[in-house]
Amino acid sequence: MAIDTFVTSRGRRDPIKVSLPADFLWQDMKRAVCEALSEDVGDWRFFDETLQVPIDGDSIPDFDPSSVLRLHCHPCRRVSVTVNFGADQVSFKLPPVSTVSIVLKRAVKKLGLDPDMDDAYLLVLLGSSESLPPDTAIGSLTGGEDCDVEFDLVLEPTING
Amino acid sequence: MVEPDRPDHRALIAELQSPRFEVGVRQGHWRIISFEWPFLVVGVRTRDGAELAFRCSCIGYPAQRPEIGLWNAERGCSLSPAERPTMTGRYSLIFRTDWESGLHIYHPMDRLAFVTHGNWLVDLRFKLWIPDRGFTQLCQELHNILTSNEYQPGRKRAA
Repeated sequence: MAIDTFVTSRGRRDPIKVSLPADFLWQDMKRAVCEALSEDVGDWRFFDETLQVPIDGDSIPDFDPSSVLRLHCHPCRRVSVTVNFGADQVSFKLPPVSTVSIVLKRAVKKLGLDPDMDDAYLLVLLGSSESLPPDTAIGSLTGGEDCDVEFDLVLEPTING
Repeated sequence: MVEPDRPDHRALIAELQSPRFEVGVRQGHWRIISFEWPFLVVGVRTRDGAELAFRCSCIGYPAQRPEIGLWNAERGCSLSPAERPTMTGRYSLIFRTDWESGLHIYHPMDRLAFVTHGNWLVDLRFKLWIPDRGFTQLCQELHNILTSNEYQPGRKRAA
């Protein structure tokens, strides 16, 4: 039986799919990801996207083979996040596996907005109009050698005529 | 059945076979119920664990956004008003039945809804169809809507 793993990485929102035997070793995974990304990720950090935890050691802890394994790999330990809301701006640092949903909640809190209303807002990349899926790992939004990402927080529009 | 050899069909097949679409399927967020060109019926998981089906006409994909309607996959017809979930807040109109006989969702990712609402290009610019994000973007949006607090379970549904 093979384990299918979906891996996002720095600058890559769309996952690659890596299939390995169920008894794979961690170095097998790293080798497969290196090949798929055509990039040496040997020194990069790997995170479990579902559990939002870094993977240390030689195996994936508590992995349920019946579930979907989603990983994120990134060279940085933390990503600098800036969120603009009108004339206000807040900044903080989070692990690259942190999702857009986590950023949104953190930003709403730091901006002093009503946390019960956090689903009334959207995060879009600075200069973009694309609303991002809430489970997007922010490390996949950083580009090049950068370890930072900047968002605009906007009110989610009401669909009416 | 002979598969059509046309670029929109090929592009859609490629998207449905992509890891970004598959990961949503593997997480149980959405699934393909049936596909008979140009109609793709997808089931999308709701907040209460039920499933809503949408029939999407995908001619011109991905440059053209699909036409999307709620669907009763068992009976092969549009989902009746009585079977539709109640939506509140920002999405209270998305499953309205008093526009185009309820055959299209009221959302800018639907082709007819978009072309008949010129103001949406600006007013709903955060909700527009992006061809590069493909059909997966639509499934993500529908899943976000149906797992939000604005989806109200309780009506009879059929997928």
